[in-house]
Amino acid sequence: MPKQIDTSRYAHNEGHTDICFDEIGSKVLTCGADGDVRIWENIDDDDAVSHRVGEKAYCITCKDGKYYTAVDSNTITAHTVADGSPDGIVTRFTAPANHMVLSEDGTQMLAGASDFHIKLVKIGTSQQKTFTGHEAPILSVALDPKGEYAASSSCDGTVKIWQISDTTCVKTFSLLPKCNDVSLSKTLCRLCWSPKTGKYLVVPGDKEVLVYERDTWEMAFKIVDKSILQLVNVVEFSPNGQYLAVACVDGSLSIWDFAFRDCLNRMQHENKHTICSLAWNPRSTNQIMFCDNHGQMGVVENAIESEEKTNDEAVASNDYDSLFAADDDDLLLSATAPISKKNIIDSEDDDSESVDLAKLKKKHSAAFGIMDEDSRDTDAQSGLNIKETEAPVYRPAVPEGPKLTPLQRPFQSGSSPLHLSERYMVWNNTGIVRQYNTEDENSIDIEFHDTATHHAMHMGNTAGHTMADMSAEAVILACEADPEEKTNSKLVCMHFGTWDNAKEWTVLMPDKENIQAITIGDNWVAVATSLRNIRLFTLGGVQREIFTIPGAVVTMAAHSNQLVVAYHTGQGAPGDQCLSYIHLHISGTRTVKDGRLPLSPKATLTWLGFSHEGTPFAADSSGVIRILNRKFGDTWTQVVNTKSHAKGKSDSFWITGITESPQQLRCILCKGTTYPPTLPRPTVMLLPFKLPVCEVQSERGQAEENYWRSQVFSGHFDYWVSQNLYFEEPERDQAKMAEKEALMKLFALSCKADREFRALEICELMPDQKTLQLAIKYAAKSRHLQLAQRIGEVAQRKQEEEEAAAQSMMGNIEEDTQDFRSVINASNSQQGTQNTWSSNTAPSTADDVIVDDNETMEEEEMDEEDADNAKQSTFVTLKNKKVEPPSNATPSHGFDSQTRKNPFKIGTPKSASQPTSVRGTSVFDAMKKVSPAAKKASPIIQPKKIIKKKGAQGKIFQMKKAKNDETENKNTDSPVAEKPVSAFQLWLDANKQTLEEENPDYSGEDDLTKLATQEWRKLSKEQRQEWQEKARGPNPGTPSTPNDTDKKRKRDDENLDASPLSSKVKDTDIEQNDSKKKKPLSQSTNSKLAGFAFGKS
Amino acid sequence: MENFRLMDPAEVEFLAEKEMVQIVPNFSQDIIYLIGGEIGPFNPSLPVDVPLWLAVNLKERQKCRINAPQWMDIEQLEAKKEEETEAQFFTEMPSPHYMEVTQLLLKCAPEIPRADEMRTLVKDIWDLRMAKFRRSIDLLVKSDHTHAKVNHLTLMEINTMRPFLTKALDQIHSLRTNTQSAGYIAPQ
Repeated sequence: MPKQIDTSRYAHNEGHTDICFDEIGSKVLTCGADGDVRIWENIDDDDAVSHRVGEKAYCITCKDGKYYTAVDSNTITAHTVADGSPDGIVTRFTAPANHMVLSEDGTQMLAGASDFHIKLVKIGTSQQKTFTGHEAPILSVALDPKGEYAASSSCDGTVKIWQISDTTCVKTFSLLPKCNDVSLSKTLCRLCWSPKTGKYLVVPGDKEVLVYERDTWEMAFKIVDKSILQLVNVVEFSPNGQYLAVACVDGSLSIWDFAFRDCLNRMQHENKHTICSLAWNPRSTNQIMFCDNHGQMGVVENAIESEEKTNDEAVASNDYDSLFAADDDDLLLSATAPISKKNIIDSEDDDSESVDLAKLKKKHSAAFGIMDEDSRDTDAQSGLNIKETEAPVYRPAVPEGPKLTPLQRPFQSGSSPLHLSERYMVWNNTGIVRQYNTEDENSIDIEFHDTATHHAMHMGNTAGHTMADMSAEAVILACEADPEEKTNSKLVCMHFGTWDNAKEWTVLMPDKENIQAITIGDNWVAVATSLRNIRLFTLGGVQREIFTIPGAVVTMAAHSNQLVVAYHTGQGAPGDQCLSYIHLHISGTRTVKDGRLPLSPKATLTWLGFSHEGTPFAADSSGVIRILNRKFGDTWTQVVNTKSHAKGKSDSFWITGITESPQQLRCILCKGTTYPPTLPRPTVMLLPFKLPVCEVQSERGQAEENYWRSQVFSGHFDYWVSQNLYFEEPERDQAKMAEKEALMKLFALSCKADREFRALEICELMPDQKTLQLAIKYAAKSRHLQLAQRIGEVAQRKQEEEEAAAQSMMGNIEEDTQDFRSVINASNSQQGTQNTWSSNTAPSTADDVIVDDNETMEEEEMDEEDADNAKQSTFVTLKNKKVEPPSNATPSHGFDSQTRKNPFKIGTPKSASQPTSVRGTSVFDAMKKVSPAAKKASPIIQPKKIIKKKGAQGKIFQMKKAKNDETENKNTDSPVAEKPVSAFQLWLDANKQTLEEENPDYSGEDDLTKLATQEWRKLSKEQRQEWQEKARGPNPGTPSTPNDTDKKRKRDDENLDASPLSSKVKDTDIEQNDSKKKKPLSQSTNSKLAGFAFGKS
Repeated sequence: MENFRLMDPAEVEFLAEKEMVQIVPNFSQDIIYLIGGEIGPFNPSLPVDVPLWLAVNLKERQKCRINAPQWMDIEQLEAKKEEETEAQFFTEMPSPHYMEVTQLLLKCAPEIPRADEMRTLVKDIWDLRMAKFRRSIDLLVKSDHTHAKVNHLTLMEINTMRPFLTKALDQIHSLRTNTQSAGYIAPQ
């Protein structure tokens, strides 16, 4: 803590006040907004001499028994110190002069005014030079001690250096905030030259003091410090040039050893008023007097503290140079401090950024300031080594190399900064915690969005809590250690969700361990400390695991059982933060993942949290929000740039929450600020997400954006499945539908543009057969035959992959299972199907499509279909009719069986009957209409269902495999395990004994079954049908006519009849057939279909 | 004489209550299906548009905060007032029920920032328009025209003026017919 300086005595009315010493330091002169000049003997002088010089006085300087004031009559006038009598006008402007300086010898005066002009006047003559070039009122001027240059700062935001000889501007820096008028300017930007030599020009900047080298005008170095938190207002060299006083607009004042860039003293104005003028006592370098903008005057005695104390405070230069010159610091320190103290230093080092100076001071230990922590130890050590070989010598700073970026400080997501007197401690999806820290109030307000959770609370904040987080169960608060009160860092949990009476618990951190971030999940609390520990507690206060993260914490977030922590992993490229994250499951699977956390260039992390669904999101200061994309190897994907929604450049959005379905970013628009005010209460608004795809304005770009956005935002479904969480299936279907729609749109666009290759690539992305079939239809209709054919290939391949996947899953259950398809395919190609083929081709009509033998279908399909619909759908039966006239009349019936659940079913009667004349659009219509049906059919949780199926199927496969091993000329097999007893089984039961007797050498059950199968095939069609009837009908043995069988039976009959042959297409409406069947087609069948459909259209 | 129905302010207000306003609920509730349309879903802290009547009701039960409509912004109202002052004819109001909505909202949600200024501005605009209205009626009556066209009047304004205007015109009419054909007695 910087010590407070107590100022204050009244000097002038409130307003800008200036101060100066006379040249011997015996008198102090002040002027102020009341237009008076007062001459004081010292700070306690109760009887100051007062002279009136005008309505307002802006600046005063004193030399040779005269004082000069800039007054509101736009002049600079001289008066005698002795009696205040006027002594002439030095110069005039067309607007009030704001600042003036006298040269060392008092013969020249440089003055800058609100009329944008700067004048250099020879006192006592009318000679003057005018410097023009600034585009706004002059804030401040400085005259080179050697008389070659003049420097000036202006409201136009620039600092200019002028060559006095020819009044030209030799250098311009643009450093300052721009404004119209001195009264509006945030800073006075009182610059100064180093005395005597003028080697450096010192310019107050934003949170830093910039030092420029003479002639080159390169930046020599910067002075930054933790005490310099705002714009620097005034810098002033001590008369001997050794020390520099720096005053900020927030009332902080620090004294620096200029050569060493070593902060000697830090002070804080007690009322935080802006210090607007500074004067070193020319008699004693230990005294500084100053005035603030409230007309108060103050004095700092012992500005330069004794040598022992010099090292108390941390050096706080962030110069690259000084980092590596840390050795120097060590040398210096070791010269003054016993080595034993070094250990203490090291032990404190982890703290570096928040190094607690007061604590250090107490220990009389020396510490270095803000440096890269990683290099700390080595620096300290090397410092020790070098110490013996090198004497501590004065080394002038040699600025070079890249600048180190200050590491981002830890923060709570959803909070506004600590220095605000009214701030949000947290604003999340549960509620809001506000902190009031004003002079007369120090309290915390807790409010819940949903009043049903808990009523609002208001409580005092005597403990000085600065961090908060809340869930629907509890609110947690934490404060850092207070070295003055000697209290340790503390965590308080208000567990209002508890059912007992103890609603609150507190836990103290160990000594020297400061809480830096807190978060609350489901029944647990996490605390990150300055020792890089993450401490877990249960909601009731039981301590759980403790683990250490590899770097200083930045922030944490929690969701149910997930915890994500962002931490520093080193120094980034200049301007960049180098952050990593660690993501763990506190309970359940207890997995840990970590990786780098990407940020935009030069940005800092501003928000880290989970969506409502539990996916981590991170936002940075450039407005970009990224999601942890679990679908793509836990990469971070930008999902929105909030700056693109902001109207003004300085507007920003403050995030309060994110939901993935619906896709919503809840945030607050902050006009011209980064953080929202507490009053008036800001309104949450919703922003849409937008992936940064290229050419997003184009139709294609939009569809691509849509597709990838729904991809990225559906990652949580997979995650839920992996976590065995229950969720509503329709939600996921909705997300999938959006994906598919975007894909179909993309596909259509590509087709229209005749980009067939691209269209095919899009098909590769399509998630299911149904969509692929739609694509085929669309391609066929839009006359992209080759494309349709290739999509057919894709469809087939995908189908195979799916099955392979299913198969491999099944492998876990039935290890010996062999690929069903391969068995069949193999037997198909080996045996051929001529016999069955030819025997049944007779009824084919002129419309028949001839299908290759190799693609013909399997006769056992009929038997299997009950066992495994999905499997069966691999094999397309193209015969749609035949034999019995009645079925011909209603070709669709064969596929309409209500009991068959085909997951790829497309053709509801509605869509099938739709006219197909409208190209393109009708395809999508079908998609939309069909979706509800498909939804219903889809399983709630995919994996379970698959596993179930497998159980039933396994036996079939097993059997097949055995068969296959022995005899390779069997192309069929008969499932024996179906629920409805199959015809074959009935037959087998009846004839088993006979078979056994006839073939005594077939011993095993499997062999027998195979044999039986052969026999079965030898039966005539009529015989088999009879058995079939037995198997199906209520009255086995009673042959039924096609007319009195139900649809289902009809279908079975057809299959039975057709089974020996393979595919026969009789139906003329292939299109309809196709859509209805929605079965994945083998490649060439598909393409033929497509071609056929197209040909017809 | 009462063969046309006059609307009293309460009735106009009733109609105005169908205007949508944005509220921030502090409770959770699924979509409510009403004859007039769906409302919701309500999520704590998420703004949602609801009819004014519901907003007022919820507010009275302290179930929500009301966000003033966009047009109730002080700057916009000032601009509107300026426009109304300068325009010769009526200008279009940001809301067809601006007066009623302001009245209802500010009555139940006085915590809306700068509510007093809003109220004053809306009242100013109202006064301006009513003065304009009276002036144009005066013009109409004096000019002896049989009709006049007035645009952008709100329901409340019409109904404020209607009872007086229609009766007055009636009266004038009867007086005129009296002078033309002496002996004719105007109906009561």
